[in-house]
Amino acid sequence: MLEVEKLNLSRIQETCAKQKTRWWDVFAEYAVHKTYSFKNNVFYGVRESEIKGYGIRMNIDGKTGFSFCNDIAMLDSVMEYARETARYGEIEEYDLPAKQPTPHVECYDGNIFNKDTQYYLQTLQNVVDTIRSAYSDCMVDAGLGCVDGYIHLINSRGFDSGYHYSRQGSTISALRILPDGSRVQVYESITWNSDVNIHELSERIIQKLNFSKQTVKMPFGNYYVIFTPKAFGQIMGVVLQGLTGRSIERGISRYIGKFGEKVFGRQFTVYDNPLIDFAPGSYPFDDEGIPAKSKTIIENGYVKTYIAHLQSAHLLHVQPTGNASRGYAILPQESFSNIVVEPGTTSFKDMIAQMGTGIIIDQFIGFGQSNTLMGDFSANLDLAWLVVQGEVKGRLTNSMVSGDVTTMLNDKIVLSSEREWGGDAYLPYVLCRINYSTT
Amino acid sequence: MLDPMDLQKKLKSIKTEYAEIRISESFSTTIHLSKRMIETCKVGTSTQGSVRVYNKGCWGFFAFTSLDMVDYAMQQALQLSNIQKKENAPTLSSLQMNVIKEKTNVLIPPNTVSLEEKMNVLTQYNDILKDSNLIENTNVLYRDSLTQYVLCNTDGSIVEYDRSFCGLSLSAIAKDGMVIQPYGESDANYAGFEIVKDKHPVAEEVVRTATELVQAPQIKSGVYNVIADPKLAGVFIHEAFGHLSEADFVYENPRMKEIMVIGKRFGPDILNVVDDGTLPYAGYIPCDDEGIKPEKTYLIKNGILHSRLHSRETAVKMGEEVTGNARAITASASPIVRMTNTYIENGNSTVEELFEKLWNGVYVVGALGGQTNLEMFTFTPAYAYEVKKGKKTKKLRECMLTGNVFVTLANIEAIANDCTLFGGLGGCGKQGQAPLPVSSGGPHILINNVLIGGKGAGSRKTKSK
Repeated sequence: MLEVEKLNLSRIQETCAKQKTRWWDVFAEYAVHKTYSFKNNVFYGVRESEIKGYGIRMNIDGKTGFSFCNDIAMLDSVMEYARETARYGEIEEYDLPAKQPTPHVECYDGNIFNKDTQYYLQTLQNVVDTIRSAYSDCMVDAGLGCVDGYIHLINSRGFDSGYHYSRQGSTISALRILPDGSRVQVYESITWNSDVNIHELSERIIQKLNFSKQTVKMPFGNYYVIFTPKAFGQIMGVVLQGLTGRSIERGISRYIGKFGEKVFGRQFTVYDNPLIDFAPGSYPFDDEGIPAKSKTIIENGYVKTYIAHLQSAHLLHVQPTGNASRGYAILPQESFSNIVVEPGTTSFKDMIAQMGTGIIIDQFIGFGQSNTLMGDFSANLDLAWLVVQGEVKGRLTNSMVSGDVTTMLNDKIVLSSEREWGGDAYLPYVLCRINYSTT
Repeated sequence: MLDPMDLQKKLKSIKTEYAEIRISESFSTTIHLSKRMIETCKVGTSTQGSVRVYNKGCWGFFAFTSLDMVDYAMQQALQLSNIQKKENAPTLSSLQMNVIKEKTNVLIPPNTVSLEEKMNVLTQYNDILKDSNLIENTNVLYRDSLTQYVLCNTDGSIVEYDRSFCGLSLSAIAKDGMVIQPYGESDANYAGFEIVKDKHPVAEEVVRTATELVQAPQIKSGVYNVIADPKLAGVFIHEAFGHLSEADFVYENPRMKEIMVIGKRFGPDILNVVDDGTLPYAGYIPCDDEGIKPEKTYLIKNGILHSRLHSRETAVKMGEEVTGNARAITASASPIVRMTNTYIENGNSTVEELFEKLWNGVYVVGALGGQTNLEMFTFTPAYAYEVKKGKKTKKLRECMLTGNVFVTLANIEAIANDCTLFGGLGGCGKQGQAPLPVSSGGPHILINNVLIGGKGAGSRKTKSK
């Protein structure tokens, strides 16, 4: 952290301590981003940013107010806004955590900042060349960047702690227009708090372009389907919706009354684990100061628990789980850290053979637009392939799938032995059945 | 706020083809009420800025959140723009200098309304939304922002825009047994507090619709002929064709240029599609984030591809005129090609004639969202009606429409004459920049053979009369 930022935080701490409050906390963020990008196969430009911001919560007479700023010169105004909004804020009777031991987890690898411009340009050029050596008509966009960030939390009960995090991320997309005029765009991305293997992404892209050389059709019906880890990440979003204290407290979780019951297939076990070294969702303490810990959310199909921040934990009479997430301008919300799904024992290759005839789904369009509160989904297939007798025949277009996650992830699902990281989720390939429709 | 003349002087010291400085200072209020609690009540300030420099085919960009970083940002952006020079890179020559000083016309400036009064009005709406046993949760979301924005560029342009943005979203989640059904309405624009006042009838409509829908049957998936209402027609044209008209998807791709060649037929003669940032809706801009004034741009005229949306860079690279469509979500984000107010112009039919023509099919109403991959699209209506013998019958929930862009445009059979545009607190998303204020709309339109996803694998297909 820059010395000037330490001085700013000390000044905010002193100012807050003078306020007549029941409690207060300050969340400070400082981050430097740098991203190199290629567009349409050639170098496009470099984007750099230096962002800092401060968010201040004040609980006065039991009600919480909140304000934020980027510029420390606005501090007095921000104090006044926080006090004013506290007159209209929600009654929050919980206490903030005092300083307490936090677990160790590696979130920072300074080595990623030792690479020079030439390294980035050459790495991205190699990716473009690799993909275009397989498909010379391909238009490739590629980005590679890193973040050097720092988060600090101070509160009225003596919590005063911060941590550095590093992050390297890459997104690559490859676009082909096939002779019939149809458009195939494959994208892959990876984020890690240490070095990322960008070449793995180009290999995945080439394999998916290989699958997409031809466009094929299949009729309406209920079929076997394999979700790739990337596609299953979106399904997991629906699975996890309703497993937050907020949704339970509001009465809109479909899991109310089902905790301890078997809802999914016995193969299905899900963890929330913020303590995986260098994983993008890792942290030593959450954004309200609660120490991070790993939790089993679903075990062998049984729904075990949900995540809760300070407020919903207080309202539901449970312990906070260390899953509060906030930005300097955003109040704490409940958020999963790294989602890890237990693997199965079948390889992806054997899974295709086992499926016989069916669909592999990799990318959706419009996935989040359906009414997912009930676990239902309905989405267009952006990238999916028809498999006949264990062999990929080509890409399915103008088609969609629909279903609900509870029925779909039943005892008959098969999980692959391989898993892939996508964002902050570590997921296997998943074989199940689904309704398919097409024009 | 920094003096624009000083910023302009700083720019003159840079030797480059093109450069711009954008800075904004905002004061915003956000209030979010739910059925049981006050989710958010916050007031805050934000300072954002960036410098962008173009040199021989390479962009250097530096964003910051402190006004004292402008000089450093200029040095960094210039240095980044010199990392790799391209041979034969097109030159971004100077364009018309625009000096604009504008302020949003408001009846009730949001900063003159106390938090107490804002809370009172929003609580009234929330009380209406809560007034049903079937309503499990409510969401009243209010947001206003007052922003002082300055843009200076090497054309010599200076844009000073004091804008006031205000919006409201009212939604309710109904629950009946195991069925959970949300429904909502939203309105937002460059305006003052006046646009969120007197919305009690809207709140009543939201709760009525949510409680009806939770008891309505789900639509069966299948291929249908559909009438889309003006709101969904807007989402359709935004998703199905608006994004495809953004030149950054086309300008360096030879195959896409062949597909999107000007003069190619994309729809029936009755189809006219426009993007116009000068109209006073949520997509209004006095100029874009490259200092270029917007204009009325026909994307499709009489069914034929007429023109496309450009930034400074895409226009030069395609040898076409700029259209004033380079927009950034904030002053610390890079401008990219975006829509403004996008709509289908009126056709020559009445709404009644459309229903007569449809005879049997589905009438889709409202919009929860949409997405495209530039070949296929999806859009989600808020709800639908089954249409039998030209009349609306039962209400249906849970439908999502999808299709191939080119096939669906060609399948537009009739266009009514009741064009309306809609904005909202949501907006458009592209390349991580969301939600950008835009509006979209059109008249009622009749489209044949649209795939609708829903519960159960069906295979039904409807036929027009």
